[in-house]
Amino acid sequence: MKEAVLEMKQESRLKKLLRDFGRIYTHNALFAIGFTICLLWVLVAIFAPLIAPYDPIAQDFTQRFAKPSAAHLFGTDNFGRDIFSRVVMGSRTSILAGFTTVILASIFGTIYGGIAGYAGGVVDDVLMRIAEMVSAFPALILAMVITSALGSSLFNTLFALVIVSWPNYARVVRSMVLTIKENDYVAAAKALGTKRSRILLREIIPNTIGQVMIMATLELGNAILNFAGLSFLGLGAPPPAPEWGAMVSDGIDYFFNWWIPTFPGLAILTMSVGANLMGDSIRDLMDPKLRKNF
Amino acid sequence: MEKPVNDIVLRVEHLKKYYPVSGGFLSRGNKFVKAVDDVSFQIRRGETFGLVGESGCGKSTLGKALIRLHEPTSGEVWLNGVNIAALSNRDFAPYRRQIQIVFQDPSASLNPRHTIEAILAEPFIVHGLYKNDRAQMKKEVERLMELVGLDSYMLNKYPHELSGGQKQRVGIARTLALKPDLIVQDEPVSALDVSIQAQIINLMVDLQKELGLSYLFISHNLNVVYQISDNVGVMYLGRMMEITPYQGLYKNPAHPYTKALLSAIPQPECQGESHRIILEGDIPSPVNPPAGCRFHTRCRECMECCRRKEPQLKEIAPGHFVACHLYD
Repeated sequence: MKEAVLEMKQESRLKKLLRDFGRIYTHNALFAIGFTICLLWVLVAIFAPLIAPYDPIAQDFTQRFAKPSAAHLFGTDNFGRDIFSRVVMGSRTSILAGFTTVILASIFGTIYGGIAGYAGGVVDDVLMRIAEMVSAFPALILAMVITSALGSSLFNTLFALVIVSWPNYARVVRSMVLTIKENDYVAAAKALGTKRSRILLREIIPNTIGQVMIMATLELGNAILNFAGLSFLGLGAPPPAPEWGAMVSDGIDYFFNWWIPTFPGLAILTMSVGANLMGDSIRDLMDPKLRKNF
Repeated sequence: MEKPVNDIVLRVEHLKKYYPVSGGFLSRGNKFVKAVDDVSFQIRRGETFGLVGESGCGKSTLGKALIRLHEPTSGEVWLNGVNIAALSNRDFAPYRRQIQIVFQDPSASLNPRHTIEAILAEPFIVHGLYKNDRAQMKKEVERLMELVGLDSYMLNKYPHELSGGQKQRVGIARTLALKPDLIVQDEPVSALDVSIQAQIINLMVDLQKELGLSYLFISHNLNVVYQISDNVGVMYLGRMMEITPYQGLYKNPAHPYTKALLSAIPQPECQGESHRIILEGDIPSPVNPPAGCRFHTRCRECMECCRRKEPQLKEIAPGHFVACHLYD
């Protein structure tokens, strides 16, 4: 009998999470909007080849500067390429870049900040001064320097974006760790003889994940924006590939063909706004104490 | 229960814990908060040593210095014949199994991110017990739950889903996992309801009988200490003022400070008139404790020598030690 009860409990874990999610989705309009936008973009990215009506890099000089119409939903650019197809295909690059940056930067920043905060003293001072040195430079300019020094490729752009964004996580995590490490459960772990690395990874860092997730979601918009910015400056994916920032950049030469920069611009806008809205409300899902209230 | 008389679990000798005061530039390194200043006592196997004193007297610091959550400044801590205060952190690790701690706030001592099962399995994992036998580990965890009177269906719950009393039971279960000889109880019941306090104390007494544990029971509540202790130590401003068997605490307290503490316990009126001893003034700063006897600024029996010479603990009756010039 007891066994049966236990099994039921375990089985319903996932269900409970889904139910909580459903509750947040229906009770929190901002989260619903942000999540829907992001979900739509992710779906677009996954099914991009099925959605895009044309080849995004196929040039058609008979169709240059076509206005938005039934044949070309968002019009065409100076090479006669279908902008709708390019925006759809470009979502793959942008989303991939955004997620990769955020995931790598948050993992590195969390561990870095965790070590600094937990070790304290000289270690903390040295580690945080390094982080501050990195974040003292304007993000986009530093990223530009790194990308142009290493040569422009997708990998180098992502690397540059990770380099400019990890100090944010490190700083937030460090300050959280300073308060978390004073908790009795850390003392209890110490009294049990737990190794310092295990205390950090098992007792302290899990308690920062809620905040890190919020930051990561908020930074997702930033990362996509920065990636678009670098591409706009010609430091992102190499030219023929469809990329939102690069498309906007192409468009400014043809100011009166407004559709060329507008649609990729709108794509950047919706994606980053969606990510920001989601980030603001995702904390409630992550905090086990707040979960009940939804 | 029978107690082997000379079997001493813990002997503390001249333990000191000073915290440097970070003042201005000029005074740096000169001043210390003398939280625990030259304290000696011992605990026999299976015995409970109650430690009382007002807040800020250093009793919690003493407890935490014993298990080296705060590194002692100087002194010796002999645990089962080994001076653990002199060991390096690495060498001390295996001895941690012998001495554990229960914290005051049960909510703060359990990580909100882990289930009760994960919390109780942690001691085994940390010490590499039942490494290849998950089923056995689970059984051990269930046995711990049973020991402290909790139902095993709670294993899947998170700490915030439990009541304060249940959380403290989990905290106690965690300390029992490694089968320690001595448990430091740092005000384990003062965050709980009175009715729950009694339950937890009964649980502790039962566990002590069953497992032959020794307790260092830290509290500011004299009644609780009286109920559970075999010996009681009274601390004031980082110093041990009096150590007495528990009967002696109420019957013939020797130190004027102990008398004042006892008189401050609220009594039901029907038990006759109580003579309140009101202490004047505040507790002096532990950065700069009074010269001579630390208590002389507030003591009603203060004599000339009290201002000059610090009294040492003296045995005035078998097992009854007092640090006071009245008994010279």
